[in-house]
Amino acid sequence: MREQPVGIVSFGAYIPRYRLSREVIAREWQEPPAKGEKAVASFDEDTFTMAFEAASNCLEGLDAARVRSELHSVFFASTTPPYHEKLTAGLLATALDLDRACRTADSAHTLRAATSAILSGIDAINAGAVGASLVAAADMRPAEPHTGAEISFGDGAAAVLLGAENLIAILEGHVSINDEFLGTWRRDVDPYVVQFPGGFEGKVGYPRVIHESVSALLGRLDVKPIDVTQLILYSPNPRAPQAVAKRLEMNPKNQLADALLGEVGDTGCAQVLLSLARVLETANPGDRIVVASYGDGSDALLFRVTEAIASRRNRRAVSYYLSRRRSLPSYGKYALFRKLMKTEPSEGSSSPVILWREVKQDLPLYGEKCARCGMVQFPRQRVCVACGAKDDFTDAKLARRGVVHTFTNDYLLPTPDPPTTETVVNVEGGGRVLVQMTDAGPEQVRVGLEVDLVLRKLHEGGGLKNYFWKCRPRD
Amino acid sequence: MGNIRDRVAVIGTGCSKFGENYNMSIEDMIVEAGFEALQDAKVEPKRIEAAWVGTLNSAFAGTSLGDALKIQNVPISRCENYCASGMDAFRNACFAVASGMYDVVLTLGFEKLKDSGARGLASTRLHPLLAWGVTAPNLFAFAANRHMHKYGTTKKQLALVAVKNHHNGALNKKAHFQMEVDIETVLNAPLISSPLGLYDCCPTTDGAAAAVICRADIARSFRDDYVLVKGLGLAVTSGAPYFQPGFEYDGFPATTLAAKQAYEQAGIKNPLEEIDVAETHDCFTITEILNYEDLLFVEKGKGARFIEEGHSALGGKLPVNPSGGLKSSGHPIGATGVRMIYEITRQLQHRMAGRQVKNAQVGLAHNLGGPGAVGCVTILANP
Repeated sequence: MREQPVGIVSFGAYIPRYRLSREVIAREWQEPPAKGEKAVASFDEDTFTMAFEAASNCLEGLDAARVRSELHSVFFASTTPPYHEKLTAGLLATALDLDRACRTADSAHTLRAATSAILSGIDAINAGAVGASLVAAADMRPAEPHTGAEISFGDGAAAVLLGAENLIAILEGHVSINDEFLGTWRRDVDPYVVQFPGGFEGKVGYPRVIHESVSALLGRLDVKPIDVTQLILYSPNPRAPQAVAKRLEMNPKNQLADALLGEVGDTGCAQVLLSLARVLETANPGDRIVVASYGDGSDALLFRVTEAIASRRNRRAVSYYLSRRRSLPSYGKYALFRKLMKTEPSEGSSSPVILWREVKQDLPLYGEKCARCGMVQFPRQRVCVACGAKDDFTDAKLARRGVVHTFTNDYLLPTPDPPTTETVVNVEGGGRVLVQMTDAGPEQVRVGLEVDLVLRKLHEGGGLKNYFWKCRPRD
Repeated sequence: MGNIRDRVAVIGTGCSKFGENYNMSIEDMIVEAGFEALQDAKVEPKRIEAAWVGTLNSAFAGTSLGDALKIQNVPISRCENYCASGMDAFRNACFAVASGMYDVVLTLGFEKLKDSGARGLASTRLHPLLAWGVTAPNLFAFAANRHMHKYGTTKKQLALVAVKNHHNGALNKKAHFQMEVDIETVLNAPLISSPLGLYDCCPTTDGAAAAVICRADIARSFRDDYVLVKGLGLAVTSGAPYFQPGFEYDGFPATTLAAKQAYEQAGIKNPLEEIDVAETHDCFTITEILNYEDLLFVEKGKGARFIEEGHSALGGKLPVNPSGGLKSSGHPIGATGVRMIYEITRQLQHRMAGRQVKNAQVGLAHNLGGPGAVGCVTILANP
């Protein structure tokens, strides 16, 4: 067992750019107007792509060589993974270009999935098995149309890097409670999340279990409620956590953290990590943060913020994404994105063989640099496009930013969100790619536009998820 | 290096009706074009010693031609080089004749697009991720937006190409479209791939075209008004310019490279002054403007002004696409390059009635394939 403290080294978050106003939902069903909006994953996003962007943000600015040599554990947490059988954590580790000798595991089936993964990561670090562990959580839970869940559920992702050095927050202790309870569930055959009708979970499940875990945590560590700077409780709705905070003798007004329900929605198992990222963005050394999840029990964790927070606060996390939004114009668009309506299939084909052979090129986006003339090129070649040298290249990972050289808006390609903007992008530092532009309208593209490269689901041809890079205007 | 000049003659040409030929099979179109060319050359099918057939993907192998025309037991090669398949078939046939191997050879191009219901050509790159979903209009719209950005070319100038080529097409009974359009119609049409709207794009078309060629020194035994091959150029640049660092996208170097080869063989120093009529590959309106520049009629960036000033109109300094081009004739892929040979040959023979370019003696045909990657240029002239 390690003697030294363990905890959080870095954090990141991701919120989809598309937002659906609750007024639009209410109008669709002729209900009284509801407040706020929810984040909606675009048609080309899923929990992997969202988790990937959150994880990329989490690792941004860290020494890449050091990350590769120490980060040998990746957890993906979600109740809505892209595949029922096939690992997403492994896909994350590959796209993040981590070492092959990496433990990869998905944590699933409960809204507690993210905190349970954190505890497993912490245990592995404590045991000396790995130097660091990455937990990326994402959810986009299916909500039945014209229900409270549809109003409430939003999509998002967050990630934390756990380790034993350069900690921005030390894990002071944790408590886990197992509690068998049928309040919320979804079987294989259920298209939407099922909630037992009435007040059973709201009155008997949630407040009892989450109170039990947090009070046990504070009792075990001998921390007074007043000494908790921020209390992060999984929040199924805005009121439920307030009652719990009061019962814990805390002030909901200044101690209870924002669960982002109003602007983002209930992001499932990612919710408490998104709130944690939000809190860390403005945290001060010495702050004590309680994180408590809920689902078939509860995990409660207490963190103490360190001096190192100052160097890690400023990153793409919740505030960055909250201010970058794009309204979904109609409920119909949301219905198309979520495949709530049947449409003509137009998926085409794919090749797992090609995806395997080119994995280094297509996921971590490696091109090559000619050792003779220095030309950076993509896709990977045998013979240099510039000088003709054969098999004389070094790996060149393409930068994640570039400038639009030329473009077009295509109105024919079948898509839930026409037109499809195709761009030829000169990548910063070399290489040129042909990629679709995403999360932007046709009026936004122009020659010279600065873009970020983002990983998205290009199509589902061949009955599988074909992930590839797109670009998004940098703003 | 050798020179093709004055070694091969075109002695017969044929062309099927181009259009939505729902009532015609591939066989029907090949027979229509093939026999018209044979009869025009006064050559019996059994006189054909070898044949080259061009198609992108409507059929396979030499059998597609042989089975339709019953030209069998002779060498027939199928040529595929994107949208330049037809002219490259013609080009290969010319070299076979020039080699002395054959005296009389048939070349034919065809394509059947309307049997499938496809609305256009999808990306030819068969990869699950790279260039996935990219269409032909996209590839040329990339050049349009770059040209507009760099040289200030406008959508209105693009529209002038459509107006001109629809005007010419209205004079061509074999064209897919015989209708004039006004500039407002072109500008107000729905977008296909910005900035290209419906009328900036050639249609998807069925058709076939054919040419009979022979050794130049025996051409007069078939007809007096034969036409000589003066130059043949072909250049293949990267099929993925969108991945090519430094590819400017304001034109297609494959065209210029092919043109320079053909001009050198033909002894052409100043194409604008020496060429009387041209059929160029106007798959999209922007392509014709790029062609003016890439074929060295005008400097880079001056193409839009060339159409605006009327130089490429019938009666202009260098009429381009008197047939109506791909825009009005349509673009049955493998057929197009051979249809251009048909058009230029008959222009030089002064057989084109309403759309005849006065006193045409030297003509150019230009076929462009893929994302501007396969440039093919043929120079024909009267003896």
